[in-house]
Amino acid sequence: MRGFSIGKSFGGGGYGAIGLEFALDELHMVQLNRKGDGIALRAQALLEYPLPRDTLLQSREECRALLKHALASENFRGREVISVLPSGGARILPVTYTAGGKLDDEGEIILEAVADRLQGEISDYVIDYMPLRAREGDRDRVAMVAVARRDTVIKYLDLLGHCGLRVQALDVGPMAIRRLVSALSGSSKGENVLVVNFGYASSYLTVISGRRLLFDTEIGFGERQLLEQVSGALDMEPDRVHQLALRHGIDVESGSRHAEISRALREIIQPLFLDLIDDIHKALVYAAAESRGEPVKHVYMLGSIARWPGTADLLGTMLNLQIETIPDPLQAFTPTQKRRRRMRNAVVATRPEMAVATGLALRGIGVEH
Amino acid sequence: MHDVDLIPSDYRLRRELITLLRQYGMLAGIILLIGLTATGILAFMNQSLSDRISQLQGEQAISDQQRIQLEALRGSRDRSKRQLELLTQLRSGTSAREIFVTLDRALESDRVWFRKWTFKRAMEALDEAQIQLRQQLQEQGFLIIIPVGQTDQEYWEIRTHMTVDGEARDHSALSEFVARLFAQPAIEDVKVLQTSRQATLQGAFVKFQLAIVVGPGTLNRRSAY
Repeated sequence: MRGFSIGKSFGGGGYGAIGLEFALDELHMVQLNRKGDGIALRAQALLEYPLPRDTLLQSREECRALLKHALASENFRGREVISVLPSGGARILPVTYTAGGKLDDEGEIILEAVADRLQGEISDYVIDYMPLRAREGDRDRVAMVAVARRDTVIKYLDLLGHCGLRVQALDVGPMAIRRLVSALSGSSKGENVLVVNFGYASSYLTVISGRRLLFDTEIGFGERQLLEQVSGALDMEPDRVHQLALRHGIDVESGSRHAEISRALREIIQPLFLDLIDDIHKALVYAAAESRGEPVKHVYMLGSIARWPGTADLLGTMLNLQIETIPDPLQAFTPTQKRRRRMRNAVVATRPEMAVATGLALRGIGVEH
Repeated sequence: MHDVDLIPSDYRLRRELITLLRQYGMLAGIILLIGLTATGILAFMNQSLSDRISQLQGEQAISDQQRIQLEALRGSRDRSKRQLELLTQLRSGTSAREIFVTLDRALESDRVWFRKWTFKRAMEALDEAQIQLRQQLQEQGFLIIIPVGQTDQEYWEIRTHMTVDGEARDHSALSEFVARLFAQPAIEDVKVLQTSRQATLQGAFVKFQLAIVVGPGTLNRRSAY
């Protein structure tokens, strides 16, 4: 794993808004500080839910208690947060549109393009977008459109408000990851990076070129599919399969005495990876086309399946590329002195899954990557 | 670069308004709290000062009462002192022996003799002219004036009055005797109250009555103080 450094263009000082993500099994919170020209890690919290996430998010008091505990457990400052909707709350739609038609306003054009793909009234949705490709002289353009049901958004914002938090912005996962990868890679390099973010029901492929988000798409591949496949093949409960996968993984090269289990799991799930490989190939081709032949230099993965030992090896073998788990995003930031003192004798759990929360925290201190 | 934000603009606006109202509310609350606290502190200070003023007024009232009592006691002491002085003066003044000596000097021969001799010592109030005169005498060391009344203008003088009933060989002897009395510094005034010629077998003589005023303590110049 190569080292990462933060660019020196951030400037300023002070603490930023807290990056907050209700991930599938854990609450992720990160807060960064500006420190001279760089960035320092002020606080991080990774707490397992006391209840299943959906149940937790229905209970305001449980949620409030969890967040209160998280804020108290670390040196967080302020109550401003930047968050994302829990997975499934927002959809990312790549929209191709032609500029310069009868509608002058880009927003109206995109809205019209999205309206056909939504169920019900468009006023029931909250929509925002980010242009991905806008070459000079080229009227065909691509935008990444984030769509969420208005009632879902209001409910989530009210929940956080009830928990004493002020939501500065409601971002989407791919944007947070783009921001983090750009910060980790260095803004000036302009390398193409593919990030595979595994979710429970679906996953996301994000292609970043330097500071630019080239591509983001949702694919129908998730941990649930793998668990159901193994569960059906071995006639085991999905939870038990999940424990086995996390403990033994699918690393057949490990040489451990449980290699047989790993091998069995790998054989069962490998066919399911073929569709994923196909989608990744398409993303790689698209990235090369959009960046004048520049190949993807790094493929990072994170999320649920990324925690299974051997996943990177399986994907790497199938893609014939080097796949890495995304580097611990927080190791790139020097802890503040106060945090260093606080953590001197503590064992701190840092996980790649903090990537989204870290990307949100970067927005919290005004990083524009 | 544009960042995605899924917070609806109307929701954000409503939330900002609520936040603003809350901040104003908090500000108003803080101002109210400061006002109430200041009022409370001022009321407490006012009460403390009122209590202190009441305490001082009480102490002053006690002090005034004590002062009045002290002045009354001083007045009483002064009165007693003056009475003591007067009594001392009355008791002292020109002694009987000195009066005898003075009269003896005036007698010089046996042509005048006394039948009855009364002696009275008393205080007499002085008018302004008398005061001035007495003050001159006092400055010269001949007289002691004792202020008795409440004001400096009120003066009293201790005088010794004598009445002498006697007989003389003739009017010439009486007149010499009176002249000699006037010549004595201690004698302030001599009035012949009555004379009558009496004839007996042994011969004629003059019966007389004199009133003699003796000066106040001038014989020995003793101070009344």
